[in-house]
Amino acid sequence: MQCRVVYNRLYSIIEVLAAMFVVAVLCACNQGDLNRGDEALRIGDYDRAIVNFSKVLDMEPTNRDARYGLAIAYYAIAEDKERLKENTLAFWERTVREFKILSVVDSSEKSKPMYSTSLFYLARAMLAENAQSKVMPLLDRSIQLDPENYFSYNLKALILAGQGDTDEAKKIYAYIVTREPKFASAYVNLGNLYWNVHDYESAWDIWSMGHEALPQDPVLAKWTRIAEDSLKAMVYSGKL
Amino acid sequence: MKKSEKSLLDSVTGGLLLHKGGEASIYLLNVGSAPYVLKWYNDGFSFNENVIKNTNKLHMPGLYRIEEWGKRNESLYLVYDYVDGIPSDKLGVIPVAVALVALRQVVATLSLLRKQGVSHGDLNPANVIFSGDGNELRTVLIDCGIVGPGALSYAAPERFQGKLADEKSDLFSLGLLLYRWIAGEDLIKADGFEAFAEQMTNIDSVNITETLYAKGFFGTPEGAVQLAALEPLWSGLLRSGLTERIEDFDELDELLEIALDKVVHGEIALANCVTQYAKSINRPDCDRNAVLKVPNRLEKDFPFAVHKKNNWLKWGALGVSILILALIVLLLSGGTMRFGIDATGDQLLKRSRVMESSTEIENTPVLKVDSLLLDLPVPASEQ
Repeated sequence: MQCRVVYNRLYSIIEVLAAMFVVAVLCACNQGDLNRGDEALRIGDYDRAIVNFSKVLDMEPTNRDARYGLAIAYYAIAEDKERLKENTLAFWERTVREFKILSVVDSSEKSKPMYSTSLFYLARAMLAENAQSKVMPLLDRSIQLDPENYFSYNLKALILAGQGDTDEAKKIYAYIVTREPKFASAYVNLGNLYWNVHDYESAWDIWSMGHEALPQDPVLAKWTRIAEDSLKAMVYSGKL
Repeated sequence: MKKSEKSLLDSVTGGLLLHKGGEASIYLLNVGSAPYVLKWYNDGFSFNENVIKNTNKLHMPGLYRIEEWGKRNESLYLVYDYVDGIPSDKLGVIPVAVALVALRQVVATLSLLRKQGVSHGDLNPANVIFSGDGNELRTVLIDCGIVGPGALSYAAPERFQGKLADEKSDLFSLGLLLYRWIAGEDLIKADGFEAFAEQMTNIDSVNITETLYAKGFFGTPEGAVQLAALEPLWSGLLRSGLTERIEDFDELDELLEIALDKVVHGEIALANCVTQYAKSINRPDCDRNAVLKVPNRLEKDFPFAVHKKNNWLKWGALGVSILILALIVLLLSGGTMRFGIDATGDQLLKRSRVMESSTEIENTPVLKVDSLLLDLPVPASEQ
């Protein structure tokens, strides 16, 4: 009897060990797919990366690394399309969807900046598709995810300005250039707002500030010069 | 019951039957290339566990070393270190001087045992091993703690009456043992328990000196001296009455010393005698290196099965554990993967957010300064 008890216990231990072994083997297999996915990502083979990360997610849908890798792969594909000036709306929708799922399984802060950027791109793609798209919630979410995503601030300010809320737009541009003095677009757009209401002096102030911060930027250089010449002309004409 | 939880029997790789007796079978074991002796008791026979425990605590050169005892397959067993030597029942006639020297050694061991409250209980030639290397003669006592009278040819009369072994009964047995060594045969020969009991009880009537003389070994003047020297020993040891026997081992040792003085003149002569005998039994070609004959396999009729399965399970479990550990280490080392994916993400994000120079939208007219006042251009908004 005692012998049987000892054997039963031994077999129980073996069963537990075998289960641990199977789990460990599955983990090891998943790890192999993860590694392959990451390698594919690094060399720009995004389709293969998607295949490998999807394999892992088929076995383990909550695998954070695989989900992040998949989201990154979609992101990279969408961004490549952006550069080719192709329609990217569907790609950014897919990317945002993966990041949204990722946010459920990943409590870390690591993926938030990229999720934030994906939302910015999605908002921009939606506007490109339809200028009347309601993208403000996406941009607010983007800024919430990454308060240093000045691209989303910039786009939000542009939309506000388009809606006539130029004061709010100016505040946002001013905030951007204060926090990120190398953000050329914010200088351009802020100067634009002043130029449109014929405040050439303020426009020159902003563009020249931008030109000083970014002397190599051709747009800022050009409009600084135009504003400067305009101011000179106005002085010569006695209008200023 | 066992001395240790891990049984030596589970590590046995070979076994050889040395002797099959009424009380037990004796096997020579190969355990991790070291020789051990297994005493496997037959049904109805056992040992005195208290004696075994006390003996186990003792470490003395003249006494065997018990390693383990217990029960296996419903049979009692005892495992002790193999003693490299020859059991004295295999030696035939031993010179008187050598027999006296050997007996003194045995008495010294028994005296120490006695101080631990242990009486041997089964003193017979098979339980005294003549060991030693080259010129040295050393006796080692084995097989303490028997339950019952022990070897009937050497048991004291009171042992047949069921009394436990004590110093007096051991002294009686020593007398018969000495006779056996000197004469080369047992003094008492009988058939069955009752016959032995009767003869032992009547041993006072046996004239041992005459018996020895009749064997023809002591016909010389030197032999006569030896017989005379031995006489006090017979009269002190081989007595059925306890009070007539020698008092204790110390007294016996004194008598043996006196006898030795009479038998051999001087220490040098004694040393020569012992050395010569030791050489004769320690010859390389003699049958003492039984350990070399221990096979690396178990005989078919070995009394128990070695649980190699347990070892297999242990090794299997150990192997799986090591494998799991290796995988865990692998996973941990692969844990940098998390940073790998994160690093890839950071890299892509950095590329996305690079602060490129702002670009003018296409077809923006290059404006002349003098037209500014008339038609101010609107710079392209940048996202």
